[in-house]
Amino acid sequence: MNGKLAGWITGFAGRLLFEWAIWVPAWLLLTIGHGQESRLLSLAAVPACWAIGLALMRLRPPWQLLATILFMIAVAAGAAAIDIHEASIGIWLAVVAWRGKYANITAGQFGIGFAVACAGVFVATGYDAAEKYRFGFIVVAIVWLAVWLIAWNRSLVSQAGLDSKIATRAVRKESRKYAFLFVALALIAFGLTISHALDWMRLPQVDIGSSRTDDIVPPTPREPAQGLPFKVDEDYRPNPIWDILFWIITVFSLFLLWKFFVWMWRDRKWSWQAIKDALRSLFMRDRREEKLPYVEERRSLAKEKRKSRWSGLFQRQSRGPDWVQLNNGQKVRRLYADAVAAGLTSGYPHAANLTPAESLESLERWRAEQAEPKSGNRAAYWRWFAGVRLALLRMYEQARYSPHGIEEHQVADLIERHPERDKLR
Amino acid sequence: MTAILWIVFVLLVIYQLQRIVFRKFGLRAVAYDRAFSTDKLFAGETLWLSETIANRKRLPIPWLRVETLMPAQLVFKNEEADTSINRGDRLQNHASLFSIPAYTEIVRKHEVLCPERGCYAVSSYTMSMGDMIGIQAKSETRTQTSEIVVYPKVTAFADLPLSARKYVYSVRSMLSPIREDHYHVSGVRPYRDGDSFRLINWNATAKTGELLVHKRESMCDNDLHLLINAELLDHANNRRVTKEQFEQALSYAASAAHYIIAGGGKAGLLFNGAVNGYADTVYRLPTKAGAAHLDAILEAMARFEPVTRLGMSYLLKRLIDERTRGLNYLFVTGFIDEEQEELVRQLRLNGNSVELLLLYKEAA
Repeated sequence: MNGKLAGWITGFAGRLLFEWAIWVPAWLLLTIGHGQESRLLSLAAVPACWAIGLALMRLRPPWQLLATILFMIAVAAGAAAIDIHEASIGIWLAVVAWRGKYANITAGQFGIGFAVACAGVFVATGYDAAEKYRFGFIVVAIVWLAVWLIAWNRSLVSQAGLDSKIATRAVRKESRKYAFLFVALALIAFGLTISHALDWMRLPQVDIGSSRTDDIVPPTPREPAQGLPFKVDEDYRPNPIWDILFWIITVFSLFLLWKFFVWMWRDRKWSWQAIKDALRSLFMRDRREEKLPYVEERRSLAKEKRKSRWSGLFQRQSRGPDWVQLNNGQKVRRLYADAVAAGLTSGYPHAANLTPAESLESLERWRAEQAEPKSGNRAAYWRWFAGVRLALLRMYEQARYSPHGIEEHQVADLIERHPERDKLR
Repeated sequence: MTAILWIVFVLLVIYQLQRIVFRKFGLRAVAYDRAFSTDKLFAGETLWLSETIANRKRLPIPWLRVETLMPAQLVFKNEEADTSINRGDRLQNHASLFSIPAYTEIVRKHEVLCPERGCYAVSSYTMSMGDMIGIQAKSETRTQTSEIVVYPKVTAFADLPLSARKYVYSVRSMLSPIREDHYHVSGVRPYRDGDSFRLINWNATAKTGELLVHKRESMCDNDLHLLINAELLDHANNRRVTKEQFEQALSYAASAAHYIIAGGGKAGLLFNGAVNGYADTVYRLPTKAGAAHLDAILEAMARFEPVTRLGMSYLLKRLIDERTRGLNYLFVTGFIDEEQEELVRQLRLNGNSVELLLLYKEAA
């Protein structure tokens, strides 16, 4: 068995689980009062009917429709034949079988789950035996609604991408965050207001005053109606052909099952390993990098936020744009300007007529003659300056006078030992 | 049931509120810029289309789609067939989908191949955005024009047909027009250092008192005039040249012009077809040297269309009537009829050299 088949089995199992999850409220309601075995049997029948419906949908038309309808009738009629009170379960399983045409889980399928849960709440409200399930159904309905919105968001983003691959995984993931936020806000608002809503939406008790209820005579209990005098044929025996058919189908099913196990056993090592890998990949996804047809870069504009009139009142205004807004050439020129400014604040007598090379050289010579600065940061700065003076000069001249650009790694090398390099990145 | 009705009600209210917010403020402070890495390139080369979108506000945008109608001749590399949406023969709808957080700028670069020459303009784009659920909230169209000019492909000189290659090579190798080596004497001029004494015109010198020599014309100068015929169909002889052959002809002409100008010579252009953005019947560029003039020739060729404005025979007659001499013509045409052959012969008799580069190939 290869990984593809294991993946298919895992996907199929997931789809069965989803279908079962949709019908849990209906199953609980329809099997009220049934025995444990009967309940489990009808529970197992849900995925079985769906799987058979899916298999019948693989036939070519018109056999597809014909076979599905026949199967649905057989299921409903079979359940009614076993016990007329089970007809509702039969009809329900027939509907499940018809749903075999929906092989993929789309956004609308989540709406079906919500609708079934709402129907369950509605029925449980008016049915005392199902009262214990009502709260659970309400929770299930809310969960289906939330999941439906998330699934709907996915399909809407795909539509926004015009159903082509321009809706990349990154875009879908980002967009889904907002859908989650929407659902979270709605649930918070719901949680805060539900108690008021329940009070507000409760129907007022109407006191009709002195109603003559005492005059009303309750009805007398009647004797149970007798069954109709049908003629019962005590010698009736079912046709033996049904027994023969039953055994033929049973033997054939066992034969198929045996063949399947033999097939699985032959590749047991790979089969089980592939299934384990598929399950592991499902839960511990190590997604491959999505191949994008473009190159994308992002940068934050937070620092370019428009300042309010009060924002700069008590803060020193920075000169010029921030470091991250500068290109590589501008960064080098900023470093040169900062070096000259640092010298000026320390008392360096800068002469405007000097070339950049002469300026930096005279700055370094002047610095060497001065006493060691008291501030450790300042001392570290001048040590850095002494180490990169020639490189800084070369890059400054290139940035200022040359048509060739400065590379990012050159700037990174220059500021590697800068005392404030964390601010410069 | 009350709880379910209430949750649905709350969802609807919150949905409406956020929808109002996104419709009102969604596309505010959203800037989109589209730029090509170069606006001029050769056919077969690639460039980068850079899309920059910036959201300069606190409100994020769950999804934003930018659609542009652009020429189908711009081929987006690295994109699979199903991402090329509605690609027709002339236009294609290119769409990009973004999800932009607050105060964020996204730059996306697409590699675009330009296999065909021409002038391509991209003018407007439509931005559509969605709300938190994903339903489209707002859409608006904005205008921004970008244009690129794709020159005809300049092939290697060795790829030119042999006869044309030899001719262009000989034109480029011609000596400077300063050299007077023609037998025809066209006047007199003052003596220059280096002139042979045999050239002295003694009569003129005696009359004027100044040393004068015979002025001879040069045999030819190394200027090349490209004469391109836009006719693709010869009705008389039922011959047709395909559009691909016409493109190849432009490629040859561009290669010849490039070769001449790169060698220091001059090139000019004459075209009898329609030119995008030019109203006259005949497009004419005088011979000049220099890279700027080469760019002008290539840009003009990018706008050529194989639609005849003036029959080639009439154009040849015009050239004959101009009575120019000593010019080198490279005549690129699909086919030539008897009348045109006679006109070419007259051009040659006038002292010009004409080389034919025929495109039509007889079916084997």
